[in-house]
Amino acid sequence: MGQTIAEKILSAHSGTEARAGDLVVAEIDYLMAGDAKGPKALDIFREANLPFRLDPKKTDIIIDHFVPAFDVRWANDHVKLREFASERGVNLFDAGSGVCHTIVTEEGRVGPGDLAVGGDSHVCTYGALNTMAVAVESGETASVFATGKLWFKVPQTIRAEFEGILPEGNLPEGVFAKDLALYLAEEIGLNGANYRAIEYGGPALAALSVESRFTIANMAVDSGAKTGIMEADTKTTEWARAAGREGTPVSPDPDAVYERVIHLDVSSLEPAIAAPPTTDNVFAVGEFTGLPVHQVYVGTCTNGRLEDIEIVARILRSRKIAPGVRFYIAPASRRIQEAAERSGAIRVLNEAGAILLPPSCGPCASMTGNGLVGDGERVLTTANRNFPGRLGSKKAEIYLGSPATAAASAIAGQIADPREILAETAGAAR
Amino acid sequence: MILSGKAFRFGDNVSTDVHLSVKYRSPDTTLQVLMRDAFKDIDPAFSASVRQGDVVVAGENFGLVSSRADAAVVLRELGISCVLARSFGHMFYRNAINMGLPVIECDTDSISAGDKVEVDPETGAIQTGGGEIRFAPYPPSLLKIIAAGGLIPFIQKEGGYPS
Ligand code: SF4
Repeated sequence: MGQTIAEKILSAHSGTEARAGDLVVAEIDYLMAGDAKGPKALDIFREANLPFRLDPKKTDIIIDHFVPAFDVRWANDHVKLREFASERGVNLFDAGSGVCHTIVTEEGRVGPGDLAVGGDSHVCTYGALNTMAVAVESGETASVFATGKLWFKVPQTIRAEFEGILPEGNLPEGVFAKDLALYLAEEIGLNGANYRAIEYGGPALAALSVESRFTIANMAVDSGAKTGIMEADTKTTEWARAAGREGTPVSPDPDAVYERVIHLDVSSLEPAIAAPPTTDNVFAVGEFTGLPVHQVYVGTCTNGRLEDIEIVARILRSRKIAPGVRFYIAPASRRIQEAAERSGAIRVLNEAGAILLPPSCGPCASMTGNGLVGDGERVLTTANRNFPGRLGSKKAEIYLGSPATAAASAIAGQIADPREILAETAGAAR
Repeated sequence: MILSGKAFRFGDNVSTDVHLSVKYRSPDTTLQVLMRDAFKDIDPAFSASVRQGDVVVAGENFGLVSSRADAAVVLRELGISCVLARSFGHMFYRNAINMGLPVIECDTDSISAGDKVEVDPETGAIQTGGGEIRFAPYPPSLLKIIAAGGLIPFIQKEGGYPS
């Protein structure tokens, strides 16, 4: 009986033949500790007086949520994280480096076949690199510092096949990885992947860039999944080699056992919107066009990459953000910001009236405290969650869409279908 | 380690909001208050009638949604010796073991409220009035975590997982 990618990665790291349902103890290749849950992990680690036995090269401390720190509490947490990093010889990505998950994937901290854990829900993003990454609680982080290992229940796997790519290898006009991620979230349902791994493959996935694949893997956890893992191909291995961690790609066996196989035909998709209150509440954008928006945000570990900023710049070029709309944009890393400066995208954004934020989580969750919205406001964001209160007021409405949909809506001052404006810009010099 | 007690029976999709109700909760709510209010909405008599060793038995998705470790601690402190369910919420399952509360995935359909239940995590057997239910036994390292009272006490005591 064949194995899924998750079963194979957990087998290789536990020295057992891991099957869904088994409990195993596995070696950890990488641990990400951030400023949201990291400080509590350090407290537990210190109070329990545990030894630090993890190879310091296998972990990073990353400050990204509370940037710039707006409360003494966060500032003190940052002090604690910096001290820990220097005491233990652990690498620190300080404020302004970017969003943790983007940094980890850009800096070659994880690669194909790796088993990673981290103190943040969206570590599953690394799955685009064929890494199995699982979110852990603060006590588990402390335990990994002390042992370099962690116990796992081997998950069952839901297989998602992306099919129906257009002849030239493109998605339909106006449709991007975010739209695919939202339609898949709808198909799986809010907790439909509880305690499961999602394994992604298929020709339409192969046609996507690695950057786009991060967007899809990122949202695995928003269907309740423990992890999301993609098959590796030459794009994956090239990315991993360039980033500096080649790893060992892991493929599923042809007779791997899946709990469920989902076929998503991308050829007939339209730009998508996830309406409040949940990420699986997904509709074609046409259902909402015309609804006024007050704030638009492009960024986050879901959609703050260069590709995303470039499509926004293409749409904003020679246009202006509508009056009454605050358009925030936060590149997901300093590298991305620099690349967007070089390409001229940043200048286009500024001229259009966008508000550029430092590489960080930005207005993604209200815990980060910036870019909050008030009662009765409506937000369109490229982030991954839209439950009421995620951005401040519980009386605000949060809609999710692709960067193109976000940019088109920012210009229109209302939720807009990006296809018209993209057609206008087609052929125009970038 | 044999765990035995009386079964408290619940259905499917009992979220951590139900057995650890946020409605009654402020940031400084004590563990005692959380214990008193456990399962208040679906079984108001629960916290008064639960005895050391008793077993919570549920259907699908027990402990869905929240990642609050308190949800497992409250049950452990009330004396619950283990939770049996057809399936668990991901974070609840992890938190429970990490807090020293055994959670076991098995077919719970034949267990009724008030049944006497005996669970052996080492052999993977549950004895009930109606017969035996089997489950995948815990591996030795996980048994040690449970016996030590949780993940951190386990590392303090054993120094780490056996290699
Ligand atoms: S960008 Fe948002 S979802 Fe991603 S790590 Fe930061 S707060 Fe979490």
